[in-house]
Amino acid sequence: MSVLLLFQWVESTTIAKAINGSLYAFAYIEAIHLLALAVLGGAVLLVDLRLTGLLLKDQPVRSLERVVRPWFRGSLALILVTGLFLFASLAATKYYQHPYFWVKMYCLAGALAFTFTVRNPVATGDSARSNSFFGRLVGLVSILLWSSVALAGKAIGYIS
Amino acid sequence: MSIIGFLTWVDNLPSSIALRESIWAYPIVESLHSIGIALFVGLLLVWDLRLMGYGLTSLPVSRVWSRLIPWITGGALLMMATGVMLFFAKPLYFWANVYFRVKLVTLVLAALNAAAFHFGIEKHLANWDAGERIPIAARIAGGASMALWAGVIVFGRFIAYNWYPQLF
Repeated sequence: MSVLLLFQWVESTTIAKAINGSLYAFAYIEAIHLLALAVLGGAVLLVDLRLTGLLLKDQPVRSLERVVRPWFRGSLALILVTGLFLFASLAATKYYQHPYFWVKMYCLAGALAFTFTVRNPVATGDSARSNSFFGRLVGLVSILLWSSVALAGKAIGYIS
Repeated sequence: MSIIGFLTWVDNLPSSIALRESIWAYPIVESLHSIGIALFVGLLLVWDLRLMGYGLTSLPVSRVWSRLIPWITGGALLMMATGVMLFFAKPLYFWANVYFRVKLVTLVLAALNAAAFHFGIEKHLANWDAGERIPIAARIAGGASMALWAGVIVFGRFIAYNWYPQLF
């Protein structure tokens, strides 16, 4: 089953058509998407800046990650759900052939994979490792990955 | 000279024209401004939540403040610099937009809220470390800050939509 067919089906659903047909729906969903970005940014940066050794160095990474976890998960869920609705409204017509949409999706997959398989285990694990040069590298890579998702998202807006 | 007259003069400056017609410069400035939201508002949110008694509760309030404030200030400077550059590139376009003006008003309110906190209750931060309950005025400042900055973000995004006719 081709990706294009899947995207066309998504775009034909009632909810997608409702968003596409409304003057305001897309904008309001996108506004929530942006607010979730602000919260996600704070949650990600607080841990990653600590990992790179730039912020709150006297706090163990583990406790920062624990404090931030509900905000990270909540804002991530919200941004993914709103993103899904935004995508659905023009899945096949616009996003399928949009170069930066695919860049963003690949960067998002990379950021999610890296966060859950490397960054979080390092942050919650052995503090000798999280405070080492390796820990700094992990923090830097995480910041770069999430930044690239955001930048690719911004780039989508430039080519309509 | 009227505001519109002054802005027209700015709009016609070669540097203004160059910035808004640039292939890379304007998109880069705008991207820094919108992605900077994650840095500035994101970390400010951590502080506002601490002020309201949530989040980094194991850390003394004054410690959270002193650690975060350099980054929040840096983020604020980034937002101000990129924001001024964006306005400089298309002054008439933004001034004619309802949502830009609403964003500006909300921004001033957010700045006033921050100033009221800074010149008012901020000096008592160390007292609150000692176990004193954070006063209600500070909690209100934190909540107001979150609401106002959320408004700035949303109104800023709505500038791009043409729901409302241009004001002139």
